[in-house]
Amino acid sequence: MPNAPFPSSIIADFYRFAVLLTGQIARAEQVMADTLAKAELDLPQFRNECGRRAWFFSRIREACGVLAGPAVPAPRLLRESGDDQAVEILEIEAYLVAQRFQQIPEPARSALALFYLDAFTNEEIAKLLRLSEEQLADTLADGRLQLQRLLRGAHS
Amino acid sequence: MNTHDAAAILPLHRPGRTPDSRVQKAVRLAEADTELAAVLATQKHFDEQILAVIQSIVPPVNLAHKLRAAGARADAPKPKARSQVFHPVVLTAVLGVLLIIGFVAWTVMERMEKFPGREAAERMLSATSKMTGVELDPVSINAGGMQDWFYMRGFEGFAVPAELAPLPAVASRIFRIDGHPIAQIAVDRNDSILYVFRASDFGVEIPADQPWRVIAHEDWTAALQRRGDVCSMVAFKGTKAQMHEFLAALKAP
Repeated sequence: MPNAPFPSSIIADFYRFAVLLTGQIARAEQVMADTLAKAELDLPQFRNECGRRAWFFSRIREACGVLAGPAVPAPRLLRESGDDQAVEILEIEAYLVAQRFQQIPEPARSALALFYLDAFTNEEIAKLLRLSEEQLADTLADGRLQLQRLLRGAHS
Repeated sequence: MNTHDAAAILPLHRPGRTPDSRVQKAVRLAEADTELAAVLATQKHFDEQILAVIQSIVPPVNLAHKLRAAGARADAPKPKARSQVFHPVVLTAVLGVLLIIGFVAWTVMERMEKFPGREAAERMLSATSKMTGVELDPVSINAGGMQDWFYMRGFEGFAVPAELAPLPAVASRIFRIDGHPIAQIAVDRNDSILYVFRASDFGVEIPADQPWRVIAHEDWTAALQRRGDVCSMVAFKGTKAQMHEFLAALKAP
C-alpha cells in the first residue's frame, strides 16, 4: 500500500483491538480518532512498519485507559453513523466477546487481544507488554480461563 | 522438554500460524500425551471460535478512510527546514533566543559604557557645550604636531593616538577642571573636538591600548582611548553610529 503506513488488514486489527479493550464501539472509534491525530505527528519517526504498528497499538492501549485503569462505562449495542444517523446493530457474538474482553484485567486483556489479532509474533507481544515469553504464556492461559468464565456467565 | 514444560508453552500456540520451534516441540509432545492433547484441542477450539468472532468485527468505512488519509500524511516527506522556520513554536524559540542575545549584547554594551571617570568626561563635554569659540587660539597644524604648542603652555606629555595625528587642528587651548589641565583641539573634520588629559587626574579607568570606548552624553558622542596615563577623547555632536563611522574612516597607523 504505497499511500498508507499499514496494510488494510492491520488497520482492521487496530480497530478490533480498540473494540476489545474498550468493549464499546463508540469509545473505540473515539480512541482511533485520537490516535490518528497523534499519529500525524509521531509516526514519521518510525522507519519500519513493525515500529509503527507497535507505536499504534501502544497508543491505542494508552488511549483505552488501560494503563491508567479508569472505570469503563457499560457497552452499547448500537453503532450510529454520523452522516445519515443510520443505526447498525453490532454482531451479537462480537459484542459479547468485546464486552467480556473489556472485563479481563490487564495485562491479560491486552495480551489476549494482541494474540488473537495478526499483527505481532509472540516475541513482539511479549516485548510490547514488557513480559518474558514464559510470562506471556502464563498470562495468555490466565486470560483464556477468565474469558471462558466471563462468556459462560454471559451465556447463563 | 517434558510434558510439564510443554503445558507451560502451549498457551502460546496460535491457530492458523506456523509456531516457532519451541511451540512446535510442545505441540508434538502434547499430541503424544492424552491429557495434554485434550487441553490443546480445547484451547484450539476455543481460540478458533474467538478468532472467528473477532474477525467479524469490521471497522466502519469512514474510519478506514481516515486512517488511510493519516497514513498518507505520515508517509509524506518531512517538511523542509525552511517551512518549519515559520512554525509558531520554532518562531517563538528563535525570538526567545534573539531576545536573550539582544539582552546580553545590551548588558555588555551598557557595561562598556560605564567606567570610572565617565562623569569627568561628561563634564568636559558639558563645558564644551558652553563655549562660544573665542576661548580657542587659532592654529594651523596637524593634531599630532601640537606637542610643542601645549608644552610651551605648561601641558607636558601631550600625545595623541597615531590615527588622530593627521587630523588638521584649527584652534586649541588648555582649560582646567578641578585644577587639572586638559588640552583641547578643534579639528577640521566633522566639527570634532579632541581632548587630551591625564587619566589619573580625573580617575578615568579604561583598559589601556584597547579599541575606542564610545559614549553618548546629551547630544554629544565621544570616543575615549588610553595609552599609559594619557587619555584621548574625540567628540562631536552626533550619534554613536556616526562616531563608529568616523573612527572607521581614520587611517590606521
